[in-house]
Amino acid sequence: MNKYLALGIESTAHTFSVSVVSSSGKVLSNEKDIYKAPKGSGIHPREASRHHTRVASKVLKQALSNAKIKPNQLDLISYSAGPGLGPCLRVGATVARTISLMLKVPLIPVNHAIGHIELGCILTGAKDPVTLLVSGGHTMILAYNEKRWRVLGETIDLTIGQLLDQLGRFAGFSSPAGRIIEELASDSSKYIELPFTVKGNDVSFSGLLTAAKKMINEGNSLNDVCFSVQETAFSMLTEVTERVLALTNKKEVLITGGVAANTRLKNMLNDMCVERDSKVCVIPKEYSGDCGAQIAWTGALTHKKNGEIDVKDSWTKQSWRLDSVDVLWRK
Amino acid sequence: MAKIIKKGAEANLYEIKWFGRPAISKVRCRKKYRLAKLDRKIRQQRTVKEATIIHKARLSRVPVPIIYHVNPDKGKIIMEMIDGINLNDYLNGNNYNNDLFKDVGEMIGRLHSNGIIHGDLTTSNIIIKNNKIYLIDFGLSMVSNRTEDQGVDIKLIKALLQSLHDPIAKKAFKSILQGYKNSIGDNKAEEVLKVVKEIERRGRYARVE
Repeated sequence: MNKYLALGIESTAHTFSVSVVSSSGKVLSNEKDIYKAPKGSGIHPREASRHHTRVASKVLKQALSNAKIKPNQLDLISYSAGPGLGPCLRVGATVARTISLMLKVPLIPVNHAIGHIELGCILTGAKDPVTLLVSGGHTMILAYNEKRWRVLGETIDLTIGQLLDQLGRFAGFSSPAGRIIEELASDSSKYIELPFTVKGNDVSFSGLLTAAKKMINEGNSLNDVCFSVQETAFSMLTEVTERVLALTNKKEVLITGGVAANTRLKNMLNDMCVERDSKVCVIPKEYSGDCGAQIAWTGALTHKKNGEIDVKDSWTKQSWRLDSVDVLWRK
Repeated sequence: MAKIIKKGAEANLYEIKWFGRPAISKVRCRKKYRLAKLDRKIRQQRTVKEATIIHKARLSRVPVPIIYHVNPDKGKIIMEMIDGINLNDYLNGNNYNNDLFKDVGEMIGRLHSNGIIHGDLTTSNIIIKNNKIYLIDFGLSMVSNRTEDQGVDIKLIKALLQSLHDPIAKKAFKSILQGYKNSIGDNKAEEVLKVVKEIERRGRYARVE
């Protein structure tokens, strides 16, 4: 099977998304519908999974029609098997199993985080990057070595997405709040000092969140707080990325995951890389957040190495760390 | 112009002469990506901390470079040149020696017994010269006797060995622990190891047996 069409289903958290990708890595469609939590609260797993159940067939149909293909043209089905919220994962897996049985095509479980990285590589042309994976579920600095994507640095408490979302919720917005925080920050240039915590190649955001909430309570302008939080947190991330770049002697940085959409973070990493003669590869904004394409493409890569499983043995795992997955398609 | 010998993550290293001796000038340079205010604070703080704690480590008989001169405003430290090879390069050259790792563990134990946390125990911050171990780069170090902080130190070197040098990681870490126990004592070492496991469990989606 040389040329084939892969369908990918993403449902780890707030996003239900379906995508069709060709074996050469061309994204033919990437449809999504995102569960919106009520203002001031986070994702409720049950509510999110109900949302996914409601929109699943609509998103699936749209993905197929946008790709201009019929279901029987599909050669394999992948689903995000973890890590993520249990009820949400099960919706995607159920849809995937059904299609796999119906069309009699291979079923492939995909690690969601590896999906972010591999989609970033194929879309930006990054070959062997230090990867900064920044989202609601992850904050990791990774590099490929000896058959695995290795975690060289990570958060030891909150992810950057959680920091931004929890700050946003505290201020009365709904999750995800990254975009509104970025907007608020862009109207300020007043830096208020906040805890800056780098431990080796690891970062910690919990002290920063507590201090930022306190600042809001003390009546500081929301713009100044958002600006200071962004400056502090993104400086920490840029610093540890530079540390890993220096440690591994690599020459590319890939930024992927939902927070890769933030312009200030991209600019900081770009400034850092220019000084180090390194290249920055940023995943295009429409693919930075959770999407079916990351699952479809990684499923296609896995399939080249026979990663399929029987429907009766298929599974989902809420905790499935990416550095426990053998990456067979990379040298 | 002094010759630049290394562009580290946060500082440039220059080879210079200090009153006739070969020396290293370590300059924490301005990072364009950081706000000026934050940048100045970080560079000053780390420069002072590094010089102070390297001196403290030396008094605890841990092999570190001798500090010759400090200029916090310029983020500059001039120190003894340790003309060796770092552990990262050493391992990448397919070298291995259990005793070296035992020494690494022993030195970390000595730091911890004396209330010093290195804070950045990567394989590139350990220098081998004439089969002797030297510790460098104390920019993220701190003074603490907390088991939690000691655990963070040990976890970092363990994780980096696994990530960058997987084939030898297990035996190397075993030797480090041996040396660590020798200098800090079995009971304390066990306590720290327990914390290391705890910290690993805090990693996202981690499943630690």
